[in-house]
Amino acid sequence: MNAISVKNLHRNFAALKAVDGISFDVPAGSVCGFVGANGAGKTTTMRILATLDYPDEGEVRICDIDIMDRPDEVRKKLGWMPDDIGNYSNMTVWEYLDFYARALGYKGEERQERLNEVMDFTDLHTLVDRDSDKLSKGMTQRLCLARALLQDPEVLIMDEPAAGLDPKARVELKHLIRLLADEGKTILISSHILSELGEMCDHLLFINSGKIVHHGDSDSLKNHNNKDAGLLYDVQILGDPQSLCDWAATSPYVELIESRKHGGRIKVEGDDKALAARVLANMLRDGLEVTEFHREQRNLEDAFIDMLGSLEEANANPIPPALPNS
Amino acid sequence: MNLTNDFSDRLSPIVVKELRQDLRGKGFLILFITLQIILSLILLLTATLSSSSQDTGTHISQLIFFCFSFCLLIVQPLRGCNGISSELKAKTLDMLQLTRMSAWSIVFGKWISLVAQSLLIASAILPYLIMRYFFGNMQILPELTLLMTILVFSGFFSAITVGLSATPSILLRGIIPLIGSMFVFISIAGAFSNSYSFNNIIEQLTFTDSDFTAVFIAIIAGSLYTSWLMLEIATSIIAPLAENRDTIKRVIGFIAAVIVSISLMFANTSPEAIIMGTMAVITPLFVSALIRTHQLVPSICKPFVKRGRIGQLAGRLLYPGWATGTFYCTIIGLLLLPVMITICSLSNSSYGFQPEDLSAFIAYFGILIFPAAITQLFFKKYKNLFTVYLLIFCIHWGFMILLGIMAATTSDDVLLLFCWLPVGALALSFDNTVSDSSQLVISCLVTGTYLIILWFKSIPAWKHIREVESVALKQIANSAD
Repeated sequence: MNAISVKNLHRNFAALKAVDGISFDVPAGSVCGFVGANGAGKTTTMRILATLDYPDEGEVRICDIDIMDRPDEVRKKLGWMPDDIGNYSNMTVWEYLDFYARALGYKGEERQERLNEVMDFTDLHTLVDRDSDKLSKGMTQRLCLARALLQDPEVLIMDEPAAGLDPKARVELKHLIRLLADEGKTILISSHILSELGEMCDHLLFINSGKIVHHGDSDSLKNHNNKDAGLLYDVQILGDPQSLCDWAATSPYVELIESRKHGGRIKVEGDDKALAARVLANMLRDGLEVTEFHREQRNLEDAFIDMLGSLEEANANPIPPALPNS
Repeated sequence: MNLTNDFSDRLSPIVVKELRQDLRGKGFLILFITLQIILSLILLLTATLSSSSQDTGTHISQLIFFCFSFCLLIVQPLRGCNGISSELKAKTLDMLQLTRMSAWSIVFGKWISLVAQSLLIASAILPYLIMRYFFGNMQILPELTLLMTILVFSGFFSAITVGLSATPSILLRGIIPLIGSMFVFISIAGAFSNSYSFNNIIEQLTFTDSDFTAVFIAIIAGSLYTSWLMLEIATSIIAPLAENRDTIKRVIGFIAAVIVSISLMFANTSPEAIIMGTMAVITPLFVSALIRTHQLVPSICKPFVKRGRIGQLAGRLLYPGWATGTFYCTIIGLLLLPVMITICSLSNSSYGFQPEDLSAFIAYFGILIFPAAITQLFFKKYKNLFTVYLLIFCIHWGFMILLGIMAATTSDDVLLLFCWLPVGALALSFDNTVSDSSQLVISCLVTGTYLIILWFKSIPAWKHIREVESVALKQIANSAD
């Protein structure tokens, strides 16, 4: 059964096609990463799924309930964690959660129990008396997660939950999301930190200019377009790293991807390892003092950037229509 | 569980939240403490400086009511300007909407928390009124009635600002309440600054004059009705598409218009008063019907279409959206006209229904239609139809003032020159230089033109309504299978 089902979804803002006919399914109990550049249509799609915006066309079902027809029913099954948690002044963490628990219909002892459960899960007990609008980003995200979990939702939609978090808070959040996934909740999560998404998610959705450009697991993405992508090597040299840049600029089949403190990261065209050996030989021949030369695995960021690059290229050089037979 | 813990569970969550926040907030604390300090000083100073005067008690009442009115009629309503907009700004409204609270309970909770704070302020001035009693010359019941009346008006003004606070436009949320506050300040300064006007108010509030009593009841009823309508408008703005707020609004509005017309029939009043009273009731109703964006989902149509042709016809009148709003306004206009003519001829009034009354009624109908027609012609892509409508509405009325000045200073021909505007047609209906039949023809032509434009622009919406209705019918058939 699909927890989220989207068919031919469209959303326009005047002339801008924010979401342009996307369709996808997220099976119940899975964790799905939603990836795209800024302005690709992620937040718009997520807001529609969360019943906070309306599609111009298309159908969206959450747990088999149409979001347009019965938004109230959908909302009972949904937890929403926006990228920017709105906070209230003059309200402690406990009062904040207490208010939402009341708004979700919890009363008396039942409310207190539920509050304790979510505060245990998100480790907020030490913060109960703190002003909710004066928390660090990590604490705020935990509070936001606690609020989203109050009604024990079947589907959790998280828009950039890791944005602005320090590494420790990010690890904590990742751990919480993994725990929720183990509980069988369906999670749709968007993030820019693709390596983390790769670890957490069962599958990934890539969106670009309002269209889904890839849907699959992280391995399928890494292998996507891999043939043309080439092989990546980390090169370290003695002396000025600029000499590696200069060398790469004049060498065929080689592209400098990233300059580093003691060298850089290069891409060698194709997947021929013999060519890589020749490149190394050329480096040494041209006087570069190479101390390290090893192959790097293609990560999700590389795959994503390559995919965007190939899409831009395809848009810039569209295939001309076939000439009519004379 | 004890009673005190239980009590907060009986209240709306939004009221609990608002009271928690606001009673700790600087705004309320400053207002409350300042009022206490000022009232204490007034009592002390008046008691020491003018204790020999016979009017001391009245002066103290004037000052207490001035301060009280200032807090309740100006400061408290202005605090409502942030009601919904603060939630929109802080991006918390989304999260509120995902709870079990309906859009109405959010808006109503915001308003009721303001009213509760006003009640708290009112209860805090009671000790000063008790002390003032010892200065003599106090009429307890009228002064308590005045206190209650101020509370009702405070609720009314707060409903207006809370209602406007749901609109994204700063013009509506800020400027209209500020201008309104200036008028209120002038009014309360006039009412409480001298003993004559204050004594006059207190005397009227003894309700010995039956006409005043009728007007007073009508004003209170009108305030309650408009308060509800303003809160409903805010609710419509933030409610999800599947929440139908318009049907009940339109049905109650129509009933209110009929009740007002019939009530006025029993008063010895002129047709102008009947027309004005009825139009006062339907004006906010028409505005709310014509400013709603046309978006319809099958779940709204289902209760109507399953009742067959009659249900479908009722739906066309009562579905949300400006297209059905146009149909509703047209039908209400066509129904009210013969109703009012009949009422005017049946009433025990010594006046008859004059042709210029008919012209004025039709022209006023055009005034309500005109901003909607212009909005659909030139500003269709604006999401915020309410702001555009009200801006055009205000500019249109402003133009009427200009026309009046021009007609007075130059020539009455200027009215003919601008009679293509509904305000021009309305001004012309009060002008004696044009024959009654010409006035009527002009009013009909002008209003008819803008109505036709609106109908013409609504054609695609009707096509969409039919499509949504057929989807709703299919869904009903599928669920029956």
